[in-house]
Amino acid sequence: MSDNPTTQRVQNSMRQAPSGEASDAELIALICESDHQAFEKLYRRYYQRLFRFAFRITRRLDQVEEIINDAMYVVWKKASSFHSETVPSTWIFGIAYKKCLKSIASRPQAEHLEIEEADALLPGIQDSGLKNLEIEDWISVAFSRLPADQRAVLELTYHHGLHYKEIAMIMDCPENTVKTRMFHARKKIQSLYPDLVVGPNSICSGNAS
Amino acid sequence: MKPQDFSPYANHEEVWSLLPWYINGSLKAAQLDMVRSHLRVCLTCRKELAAQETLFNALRHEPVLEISTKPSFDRLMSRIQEEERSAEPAKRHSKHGEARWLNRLAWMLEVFTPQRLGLALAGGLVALTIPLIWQHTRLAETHTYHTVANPGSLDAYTNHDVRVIFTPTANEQEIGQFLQSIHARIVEGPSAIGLYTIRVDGEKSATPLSQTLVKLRDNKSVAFAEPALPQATR
Repeated sequence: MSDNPTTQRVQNSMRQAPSGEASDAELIALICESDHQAFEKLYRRYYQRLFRFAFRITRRLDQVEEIINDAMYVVWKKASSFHSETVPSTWIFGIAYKKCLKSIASRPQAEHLEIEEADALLPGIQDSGLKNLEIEDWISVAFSRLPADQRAVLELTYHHGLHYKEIAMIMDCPENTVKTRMFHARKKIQSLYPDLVVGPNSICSGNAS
Repeated sequence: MKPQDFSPYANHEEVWSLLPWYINGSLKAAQLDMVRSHLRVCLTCRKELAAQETLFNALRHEPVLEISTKPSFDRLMSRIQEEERSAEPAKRHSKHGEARWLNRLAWMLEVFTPQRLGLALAGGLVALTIPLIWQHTRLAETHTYHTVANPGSLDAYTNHDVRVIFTPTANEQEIGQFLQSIHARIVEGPSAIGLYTIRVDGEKSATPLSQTLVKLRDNKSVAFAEPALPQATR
């Protein structure tokens, strides 16, 4: 069997710094001296990533900006407590994750999609012309059935390309807890979508050697 | 003793749990080799790999929406600036207080000659002794105490927490570097009087808190350092 092609393609999206510009750590050092421009640069650099992350975890668009601003407020106030041996994105996402949990905890009641609604969004039964929308829909349904900590592990692994060790640092938990959360998330999704393996990636097209 | 099993099937459960990180390309060489060897012979893991790749491809999908950061950033900066403005009067008050102290000191040096000082000290000692003897009996009955800096509940603090006030001349970078050197970080503050609570990382720092306190008090950037939790009295 050939090597998985994705392993060569995927890069850790958290570590990409625009070439020729100050690194995240350099910007944080400037923020320690109350440099507003450096703070705006860091804010712009992280906004999209935090936006998606916060939305995936909380599933509440109306809360996302508040979560991002609460997290970046902490970055501004506590920049001097940043440890240089820590990866800046791990630090920032760790703060944002705590803000997400706080936001979820402050909600009066969690919303759930009923299983009948989920059935309507199962992959493969809609018009193939709406494939992208379809993907977003079944992912949304899958995420709605998972607790926040499992959603976070999936998002940080599959979207941000992080190793479980980095995820453990962001979520402030042991590495084995990350693996356990991933295990439960996978099992839950498998029970929701037993036919998840479709198309050219299917094992049916390969032979065990 | 059981011989070690080098069969590629031996690590099935471990490989199964590592598949998401194999797919995202973050595994290190040793684990990568183990997963590759196992995948060559395990149909179950190859099926699971395909399923997880479907999920991975779906989640990797970037949102198409372009979001403007400017309005959000402006709102955050207004919040920060508003807070900084409200902190300004406290700083000004502190500077004004320093000047008043210097004036008082100059006046005292002028008024209190050695002869006058001797008389004043004798009178003062008598006046101080009586209330001290009375208070001593009350203090002996008290087992814990709250400092002026720590009037509220102590539930939020640990034995690794220290309350610190930095000197007005210390900048944030100096403070940051110093805290890093003692494996501590700010967990609270500053309060209206410039008080911070710092937490020493017990896992990283093998130094007892008493020695950390000595380091803090010896540092020129630190004006005040006391444990957040009251120490047991003997």
